[in-house]
Amino acid sequence: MEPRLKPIPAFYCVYLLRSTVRHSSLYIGSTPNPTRRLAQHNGKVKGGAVRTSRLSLRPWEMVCIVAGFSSNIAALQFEWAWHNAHLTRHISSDDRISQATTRVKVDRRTGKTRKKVGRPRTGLTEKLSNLHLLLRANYFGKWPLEVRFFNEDVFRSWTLWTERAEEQISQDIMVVLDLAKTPEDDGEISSAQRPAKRRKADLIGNGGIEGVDPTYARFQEPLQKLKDLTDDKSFKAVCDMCDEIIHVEKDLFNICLARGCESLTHMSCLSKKFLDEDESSPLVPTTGICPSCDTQLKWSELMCALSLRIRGQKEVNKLLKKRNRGAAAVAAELLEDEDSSDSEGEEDTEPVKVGGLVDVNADSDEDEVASIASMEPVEPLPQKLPRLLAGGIDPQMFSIGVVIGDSEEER
Amino acid sequence: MSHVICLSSSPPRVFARSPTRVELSSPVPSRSDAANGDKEPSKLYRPSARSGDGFSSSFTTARHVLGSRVGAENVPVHSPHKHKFKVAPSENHGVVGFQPAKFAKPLPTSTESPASIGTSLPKADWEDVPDCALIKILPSDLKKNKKPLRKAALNIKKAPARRTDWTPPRYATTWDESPDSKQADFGSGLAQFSHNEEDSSFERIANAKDGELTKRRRINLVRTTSDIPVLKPTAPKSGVKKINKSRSKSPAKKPLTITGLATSHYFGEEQEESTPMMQYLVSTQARMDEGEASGTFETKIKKKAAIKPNKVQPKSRLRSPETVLKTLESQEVIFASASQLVRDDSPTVLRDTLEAIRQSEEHLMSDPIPTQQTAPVSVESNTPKTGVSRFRGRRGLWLAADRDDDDALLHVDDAFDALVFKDVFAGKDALIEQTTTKPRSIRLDVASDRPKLMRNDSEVFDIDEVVTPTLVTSDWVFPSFVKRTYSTVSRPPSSERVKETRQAPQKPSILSTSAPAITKPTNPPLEKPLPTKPDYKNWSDEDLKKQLKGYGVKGMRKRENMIKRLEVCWAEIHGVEILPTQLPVKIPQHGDILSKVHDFAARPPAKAKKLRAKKNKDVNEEVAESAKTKRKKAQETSNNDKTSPKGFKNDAAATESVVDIDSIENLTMSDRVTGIRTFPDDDFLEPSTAAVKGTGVKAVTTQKQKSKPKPIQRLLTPPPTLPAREIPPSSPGFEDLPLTRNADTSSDIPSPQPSTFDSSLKSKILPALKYVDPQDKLRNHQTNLTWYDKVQMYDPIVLEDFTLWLNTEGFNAIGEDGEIDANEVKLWCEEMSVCCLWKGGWRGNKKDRGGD
Repeated sequence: MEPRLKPIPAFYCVYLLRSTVRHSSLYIGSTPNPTRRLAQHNGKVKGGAVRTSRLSLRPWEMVCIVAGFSSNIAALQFEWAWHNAHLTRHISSDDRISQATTRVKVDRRTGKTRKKVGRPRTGLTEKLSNLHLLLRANYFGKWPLEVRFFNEDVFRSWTLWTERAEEQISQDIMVVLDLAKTPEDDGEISSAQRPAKRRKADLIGNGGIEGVDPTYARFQEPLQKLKDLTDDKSFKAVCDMCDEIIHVEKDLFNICLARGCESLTHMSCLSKKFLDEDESSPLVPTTGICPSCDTQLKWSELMCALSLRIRGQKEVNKLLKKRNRGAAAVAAELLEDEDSSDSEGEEDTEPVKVGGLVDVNADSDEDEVASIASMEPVEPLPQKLPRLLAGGIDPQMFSIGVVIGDSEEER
Repeated sequence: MSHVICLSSSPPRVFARSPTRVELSSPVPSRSDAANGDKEPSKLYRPSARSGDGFSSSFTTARHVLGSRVGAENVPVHSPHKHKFKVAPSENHGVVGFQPAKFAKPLPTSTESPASIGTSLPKADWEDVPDCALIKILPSDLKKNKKPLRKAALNIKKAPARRTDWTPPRYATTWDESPDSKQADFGSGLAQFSHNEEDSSFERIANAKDGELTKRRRINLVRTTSDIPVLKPTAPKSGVKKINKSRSKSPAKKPLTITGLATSHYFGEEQEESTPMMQYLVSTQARMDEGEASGTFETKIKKKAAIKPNKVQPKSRLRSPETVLKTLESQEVIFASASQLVRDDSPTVLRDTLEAIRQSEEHLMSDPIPTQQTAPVSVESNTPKTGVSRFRGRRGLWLAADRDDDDALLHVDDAFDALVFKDVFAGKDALIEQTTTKPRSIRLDVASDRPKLMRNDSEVFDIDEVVTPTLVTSDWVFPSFVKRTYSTVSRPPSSERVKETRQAPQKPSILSTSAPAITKPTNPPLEKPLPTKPDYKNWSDEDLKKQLKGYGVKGMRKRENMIKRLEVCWAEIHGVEILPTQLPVKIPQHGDILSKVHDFAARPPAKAKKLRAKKNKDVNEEVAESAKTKRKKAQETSNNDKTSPKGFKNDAAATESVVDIDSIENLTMSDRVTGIRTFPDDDFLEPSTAAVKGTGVKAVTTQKQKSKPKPIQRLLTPPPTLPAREIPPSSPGFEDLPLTRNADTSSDIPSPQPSTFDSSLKSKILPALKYVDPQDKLRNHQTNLTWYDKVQMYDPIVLEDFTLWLNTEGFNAIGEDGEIDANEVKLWCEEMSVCCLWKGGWRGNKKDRGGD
């Protein structure tokens, strides 16, 4: 398989949703755009999940996200493991908190009883402890993840749990309470910007779910920097590590993400350097110091930028079109663009970016617990759509379908 | 015009009811009601044709008997006067009294006379009845009309009450002879009112009655049955044409059944197609008259064959027998059930289906008691009967089709089979061997030779002679015929053969079938010096490794292993040495060989692991395998001549000859005939046979040795159904390995054979991954990521691919010779926090690997 010719997603998170009405109602999902997804769950935007569609439970709040997944597959794997903590191999049986329950089903017609393995009902604490276990697992533990809490209560529960836990999660996984800052209302709205866009730009980076920037806007500056460098014909890219020429067209190289730093390095050279600096991981570096500006760089961010450069020409072009007015503003603009393309009914980039897998079990009933796998190819869905259309179904349905394909958390 | 009069002694009860106003009332006032407020709701009467009353439309009332103008309202007899009930033109509005439009009668037609009314009921039939009902109401109107019918209607006045429940059928219930005139009669206002009703009621009549409608149908039927004589070669083909014309009148029906769907593709050509087909059938039948009973074959074709229309369809439907035969030859015969034909009209799919059918047939055939033994010798063996003997019910029909009543393989089909079936099997190219490179234009000659062929049949021929003598007489030699004739070494001269088949000959047939390059009796194979197996034990480790590499097998640590492996490889490639001496050899069954051929095509690139597994297998399987490889090789060369997928066309096929399928068939058949019981599993050749076989195989091997081991040339025109598989460039010599020989190729990912995997290799993954090829600089790193690049870039790792790479390149590069299981790799990935997944999703394609 030429698995992904798509760049590493700008943002991908697995989230924990909680009903504000009934706190025991929880939901785990994943998304590349939590703001939009939350709106979907709350019925403000089309494409929510069945399990969160009950009006009596709305509105839902996103109490916690685990972000930093480097692919949709990674995120979905984590989501499944979290959702099926009673089954996942990533939690050893000794540590396992959630145990599978046995449910007896009685067939109404035949009267026969069937025993089925069921997903245990888990409360917030269990969910959090399972999250803790998963973040301690070998597999997920070294992923470049971060945990953000958007609710103080939940964060308190988390800290309580982590204090009790025998083992701590990796230091590389950042856990923060990221509450939305109340924006200082300066009262004036610049005429140059539309209020909505302005509002978005203000929110991004200011905590809370709305503060999450799900775009590549943060890479605009380095990309522009690199473009300026390579546009200069006389420029010869030389690796800061090995002093050899970097072939911009065919080599894998990084540019420092720090503002103003134009350090270029071969990916292999930098990786070697980072790995040498940090012996904790023999294979993939986590962080390292830029050889030129001494800024601490996250390897995952470097890779994201690199993959964006070599695989996401479209996104790069989009980014470079925007005026550089800060990441938040660019992100707001990009989101605006996305929204407008959403409202046009078809969004061609997102569903592709999401990839070929959808977790269909995420919000389904307890029955599917017996099936170990959580993923099923999403292909059937797009195939269905034209058929639905052909069947004379309301075009609205189509847009719903698209949103479904787009909202990868559940069917 | 035929009429049906049903008389009943007592009218159904319902008819006795008198209508009440309530019954008649309609929520919508009729136009006439609105016009003059008249109470007569005649329009609201239900049409008699409706069965709402519980009466079939053929019911009659007692009035049929009672009155001279019987209200035959319920007898939907066709009346030519339906226009009588048509809406009167709009001037009727001006009529003083109420004139219900429906019953407004135009001028009586000439056919109607008072006299006829009494006697011939249907003419007057129902339309008169309403008049009776109306008499009171519309005297003036009636008077106006001054029809003789009116008088007759007055006679019925006796029982007016009876009619009350009766509703006048709409005019549409009548048989409409001239739709145009009807159209003209339509009043503008009521046009829609009655028009919709027309069709349904019309149909109802058509269905309910054996009236004129069905008569018409019958005529059609008669005509269609007349097709049969038409199809006879002597019959004029214009007859077919006629039918076509008549058919073309009726609108094409949408096919509703699967069969209909299947044949719908050909429907247009069906008539034309059937002609050449039937021609062929008849011609073959003629041949059978000469003593070959190949009837089943034809009947089979008749039943199941759907003939793909040739692209070069002649413009005219009339064709000379020659052309027809020519067309027939170039046609692809596809055998399949109708549903299969519907499902996919891709010829390859159907071809494959055919393959499958053949295979399964083979299974049936491996019946321990050959039917030939149980079946009595058919008396009709020399008679021109076409059917299969009913005593041979056990035999698969497909096979039965191939044989005459004596169970001898029909060679009649050579001309047909060789051409057509070659195409059918063209996808299974391993079965096709190139023998001659005759120019393609010769093909035309074949066709023109056909009549000769048939002419020669006037003498009584042995089946084999059917083909050969003709060919001898013709100045052109049909390569495939020749090939066929000599394809089985053991086959005696044809006339003897038939005898042999009857007498259960002593000579066991020879297994030359497994070796496609058959030794021709006239041209015995050149005895090449056999290669001697090198004594690997004396070789140095280095040489051994080199040699192994040459075979595409990875180097091994242990010397003994290497030697073992080399020996296996050598045996595989040179095929034979072990075979006759060491183990009894299983007679390759048709199905086996077929399946193996298929497997070969579908098999993944050879891996050393497979070789390892091979050790455990029977050597006799290797025989088949080697034979298969050889065939494959031979076929490759032939394939090279094909330049395009069109190579499957007959033209290309003409330059090749089918050997294997038929000779294999011959073999199994002759096995039966000669009494060699072919058990699927435990039947082995007698030593003598094996020896013969050994030589036969040898002959092939010697041929093969001449050609240096080359990389497997992918088929230029791989059958579309075969999965296109990449040959990893990293496995240089694998092409020479006959390798996998059984169906376990289904696991194209490293099949978990824990014993063969070195678990200690897990620690070697990291170095293998990190190893940098010094010559690596040249490649485009952005497009060709190394696995380490992928890992570092957080690409999800596809475990199957990664494992494959490790087991080939990865470990090779660091000098490791083991192989690792994908599950091990997965564990490693999980330990290293590398995002990994199975190719087929987490569930995996084939096996449940457990866990998430």
